Amino acid sequence: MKPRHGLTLILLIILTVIFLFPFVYLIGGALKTNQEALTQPAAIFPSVPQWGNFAEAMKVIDIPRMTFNSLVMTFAVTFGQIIIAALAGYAFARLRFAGRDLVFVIFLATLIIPFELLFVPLYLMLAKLGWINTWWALIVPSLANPFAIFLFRQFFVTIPRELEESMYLDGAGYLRTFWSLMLPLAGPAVATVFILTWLAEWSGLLKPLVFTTSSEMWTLQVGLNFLNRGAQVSTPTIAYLMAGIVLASIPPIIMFLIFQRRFVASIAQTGLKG
Amino acid sequence: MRERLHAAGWGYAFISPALILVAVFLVLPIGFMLYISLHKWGLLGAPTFVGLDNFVYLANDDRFWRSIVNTIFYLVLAVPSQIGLGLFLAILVNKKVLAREGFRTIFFIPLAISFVAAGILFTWMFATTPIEGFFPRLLASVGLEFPRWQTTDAGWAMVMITLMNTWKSAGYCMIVYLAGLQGINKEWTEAAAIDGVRTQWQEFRFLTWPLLAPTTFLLVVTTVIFTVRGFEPIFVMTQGGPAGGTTTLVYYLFDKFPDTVGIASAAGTVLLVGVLALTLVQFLAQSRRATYY
Repeated sequence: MKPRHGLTLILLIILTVIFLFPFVYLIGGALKTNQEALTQPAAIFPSVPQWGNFAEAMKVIDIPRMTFNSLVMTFAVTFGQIIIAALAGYAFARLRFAGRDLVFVIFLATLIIPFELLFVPLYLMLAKLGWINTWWALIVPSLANPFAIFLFRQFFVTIPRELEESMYLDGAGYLRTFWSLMLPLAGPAVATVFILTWLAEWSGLLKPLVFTTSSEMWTLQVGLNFLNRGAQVSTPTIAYLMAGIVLASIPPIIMFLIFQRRFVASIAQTGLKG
Repeated sequence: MRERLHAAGWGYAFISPALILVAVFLVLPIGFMLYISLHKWGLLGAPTFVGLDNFVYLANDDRFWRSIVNTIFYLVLAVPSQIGLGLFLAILVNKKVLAREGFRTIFFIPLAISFVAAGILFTWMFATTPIEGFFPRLLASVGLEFPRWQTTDAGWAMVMITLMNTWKSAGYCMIVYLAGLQGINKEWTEAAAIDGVRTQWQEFRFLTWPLLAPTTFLLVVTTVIFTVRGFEPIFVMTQGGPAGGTTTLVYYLFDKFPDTVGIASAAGTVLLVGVLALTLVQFLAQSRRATYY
């Protein structure tokens, strides 16, 4: 067995080098001067690290403003989805009402509709409402997530009914039972929806690209795309672009490392990545 | 009776936010898209009913047919490569080697980077125009020429997109396969050894691979859908070029927006039918599988 594991380890090390190389090259590129990035792309590391690039990149595009926009959109959608989906999931799992199962099936069917085709009619609707280039357009259409509702329902179904019945005997209503018993119990489901939605919203380009028109409303992804197009055609700002990518990638990597176990567990369970 | 009505009242109250949002922002737009697909509609001015003209336009548009071929080409490249690499990684990190948790994190972490960031980074590493990036220079230093994927060679452009996508998504396949591998009973492996399964390859071929079939199937379904939906990788790396060679169906739709929303909606309708068909195939295959095993 020993030599086999030796081979495994060698293969793993080779693959690690391949997987980490883009990160290393990114950080190296972010620390070169723009001139050096352009003329010495074969060098992985800068001759003199330019730590000022991060501040300079912020002057080219308003990274603090875009980070703020990304954070507001991402957290608003994430928390909104959790509350709305948990409420609905609880009702689908526990409360009896006419048409419940039919509505649930319709919700499930909408799971397959990709945003990549939905954005065309949505854009026209939002334009009619006057929501284009507002927070409303970035947040409200994303609040309903049938997948999150499904996840919460499946989770609530597994919780023993006895716990709720003791709440009802104490005279608690459905809202209080939901709020002070069921939602706290649903910690794993909350964490799953949180990390999947958070990463998807943070990383998404199409929605903020199409639904915003002025740079004050841009998210980081739109800003990076803009900077990239500029870097290709006119000014040599490759190093700033790399610095911008580093800055934009720090929040999701932190989130990822905090929630790694939950993230891995949720992918293993559902086979979906949001 | 009053108790049940009470529960029903709260039930409706609890689902109403989700119900309104799903109705307004998911169901209504689909109906609206079907409506627009039957109209000639620029962003300005009133829509005029044109029947199936937009679909006739699609049927006669070479770029549309090419976008379908390109989507299939992208699927053929991207789906097997991420699933294959994911399986390989899963088998490696499933062994009791040194620091395997660390290796798992490393293969998994590209998932946290956005497609925009990864797309820009890979474009720059593989750039051939206007200047040569890291890998073209590396090849040049040993006397080889890097394919001109940004200017002439669309096939290679799709390969570059696939490389980026594989780097970003293999870790996801690895995690799903790891869950599948951990479901394989150790006793089966031992029984197989008694039955004459000797080499690691034989164990993989006759035991692991067949037992992982449900996992592979799940991964094929999800990665096919994610690949068909892939907009960012193409928008960031090639913008559908060179010469429309990487314009997939999703990118074609985006390209028709917002000047010809009618045509974009007709393309969206085709895409919706495609996604529905994929889901149906998945459903049928799963129910057959259930009776087979």
